[in-house]
Amino acid sequence: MSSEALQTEVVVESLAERVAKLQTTLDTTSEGNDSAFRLNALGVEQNTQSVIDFNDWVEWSSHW
Amino acid sequence: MASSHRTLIVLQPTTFCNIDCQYCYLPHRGQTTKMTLDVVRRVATEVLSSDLLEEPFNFLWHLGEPLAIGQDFYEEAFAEIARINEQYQRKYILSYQTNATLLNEKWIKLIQKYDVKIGLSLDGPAFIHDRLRITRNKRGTHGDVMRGVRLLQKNAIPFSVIAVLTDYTLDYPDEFFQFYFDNHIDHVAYNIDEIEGSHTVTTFSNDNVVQRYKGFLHRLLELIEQQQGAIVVREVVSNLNLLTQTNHSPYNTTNRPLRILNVHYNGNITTFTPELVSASSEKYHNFIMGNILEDTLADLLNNSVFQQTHREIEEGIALCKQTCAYWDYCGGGSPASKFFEHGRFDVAETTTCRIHKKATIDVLVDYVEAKTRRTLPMLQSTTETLRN
Repeated sequence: MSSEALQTEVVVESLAERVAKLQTTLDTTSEGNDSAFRLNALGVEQNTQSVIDFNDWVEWSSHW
Repeated sequence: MASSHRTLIVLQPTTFCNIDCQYCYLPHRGQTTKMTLDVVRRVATEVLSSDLLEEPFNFLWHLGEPLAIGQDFYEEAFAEIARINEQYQRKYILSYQTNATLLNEKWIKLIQKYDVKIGLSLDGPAFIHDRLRITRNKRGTHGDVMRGVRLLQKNAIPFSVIAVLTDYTLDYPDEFFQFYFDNHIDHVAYNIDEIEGSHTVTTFSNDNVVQRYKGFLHRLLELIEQQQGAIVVREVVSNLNLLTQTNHSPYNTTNRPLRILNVHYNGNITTFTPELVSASSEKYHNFIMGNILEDTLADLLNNSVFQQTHREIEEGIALCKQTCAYWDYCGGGSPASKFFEHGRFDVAETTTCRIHKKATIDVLVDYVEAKTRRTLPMLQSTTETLRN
């Protein structure tokens, strides 16, 4: 096998492109794949029982 | 653009603080000043009657230790706000941002009576916290804070925690996480020790600190995932929400007029980010944009200090939008960081940007990309991705 065939293609993706791809991937994984990684494992979509509004809390404490 | 967030009314009941954190940005922490009820009445009347501010409101008592001035002041202040609101019927909540060292049963009763939301400051385990969150006698405050934490927990009062990270903390992600997990503290936010106000240095200026921070956050993500999101970390959740929302517009309340109204103990008012209350600046007249005992919110918008500050902040936002790949997840950065690092607002990147926003987004994208590749092999790309 030639060294050219072994060469990995290197593509520089922008952050926006990576995020767009991530959004698509996460949408796909949410469609019925039980073993798929889900963002709630990182705490997203939790806190629904708390009286503290998380978004509000983010605003008032984000820099001090 | 309308925001789903509450308009924040930050009230400084006193400049005094009973402890002496080494990274604190607030000046005059040794002075026993106190807000008068006249100021409270004027703020409440102006805010609750105003059509310039978006409802609901969050009256947050901070910018000094709010529990340092006793319960009687708040009994009267909260009653006055409620009485004034009988006429206007606006929605609002009350909040304390406290160091928690003065909490006792009397405070608990007041907090329960008025359903006051609690944010407290706790930097992690004692060996981290007690390095910098100390009394004037140089004694660590971790034990006192944890006594307050236990009181809140015993009374089933929910609270969130803000931790300040220094570069020292970056070596201890496991200990940092485990402390909150073991103590059933499940809402944690962290800030970095920024250059702000009277705090003129940051430990996040060292050469390798970005990589160390990224390592810290990556490990924190592993630990959070191992416990299936048992601890909600603001920097993780808020940024993941932004990253996974399509068609959102970035919105940053700290750089928009009248999304935050800051009221000094003596009635002086300013808007934008609350750290401006601590600023000393001849050029910007210490950011005093009026006094609530004499001026209305409409007057504030016509104030020359406001107009100059607003104009420069807008120039800074435009520069961010023009030059920063992270714009969609930020909305223009913190005006306070721009001012305290550069002495002006019409600039873009700051240390806080590099760490708290950009490096955080980088780690989150890397982490979730790696996770989704592992769980969805059919989508795995053969291309090697390099960050721009």
